[in-house]
Amino acid sequence: MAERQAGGLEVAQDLEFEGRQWRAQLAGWWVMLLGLLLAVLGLLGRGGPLGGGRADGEGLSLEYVRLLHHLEPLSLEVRLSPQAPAAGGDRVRLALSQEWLAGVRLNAVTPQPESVELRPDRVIYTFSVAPGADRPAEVRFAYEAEEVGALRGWVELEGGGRVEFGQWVYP
Amino acid sequence: MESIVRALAVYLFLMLVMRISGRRTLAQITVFDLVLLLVISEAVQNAMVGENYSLTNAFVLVLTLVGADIALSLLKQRSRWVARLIDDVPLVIVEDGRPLEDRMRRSRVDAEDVMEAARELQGLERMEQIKYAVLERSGTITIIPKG
Repeated sequence: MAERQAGGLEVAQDLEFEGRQWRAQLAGWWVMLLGLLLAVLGLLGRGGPLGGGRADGEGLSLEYVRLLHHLEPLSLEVRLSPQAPAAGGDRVRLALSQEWLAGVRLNAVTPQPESVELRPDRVIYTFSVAPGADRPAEVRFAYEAEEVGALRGWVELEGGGRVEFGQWVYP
Repeated sequence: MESIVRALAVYLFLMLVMRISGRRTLAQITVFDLVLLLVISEAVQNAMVGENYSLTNAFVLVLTLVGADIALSLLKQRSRWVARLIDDVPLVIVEDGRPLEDRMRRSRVDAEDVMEAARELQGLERMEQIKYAVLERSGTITIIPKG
């Protein structure tokens, strides 16, 4: 109902509502600030000190992004130690879980694998390696998450260790 | 379905953020605010469209946004509470030549904003000539001069 001010101004002012609104606005500003802080820390994806992850296993280590965005271009980096077991002397076989692959769109594998083998629970990539290497070799899987929510997977080096990892995909 | 969800999510989020930021954010057309509005529209465009650049998707998005706007306007007609929540209410910020400092401070309006409106709308020269200054729902300031 419109309020009538002294002097005759008819205006739909509501001071009680304004008071509640100001308090709600202030709370909203704090929430926005909190959101920005979470984003800076990497808890809303896109990098930041708390957004990345690393997992180590026998012969390999994995660097990945724990908190990511839907369809954000990223890469999974697998480092193979120089002592990593080679399948046939000059080949390394790396398996990626189907569970993880089902939730992402794999865009590229660098370097290009010699062969790709499909199994019910995994996809195996075979890479040829130069003998006598003294530095870790790196394999990069470029991907985009297609599913929103929790995403779990593992990477396994044939003859070596398996590392498991978990991610959360924001919409 | 995904297009509708994306469009509604962006629409509701923008409404919420704009309401939280306060009505003066809407009314002030400085260069900074114009740039802000342009950049916001660019930032949310990809979130709404996703990877689907088809005509059909564009039409669905437009229908969703216009439909949401119509639905909210009907809801506002039926419920005064919803109308106030979405559109805000006017607020008297100057009464009988005296600025109401607390209300102006909370609304982030200063005396110069009031005088600018007074000069622009009524050709007034001093605060004492103002009977009422009202911060309207749109964020603009209207002036009632002393008779």
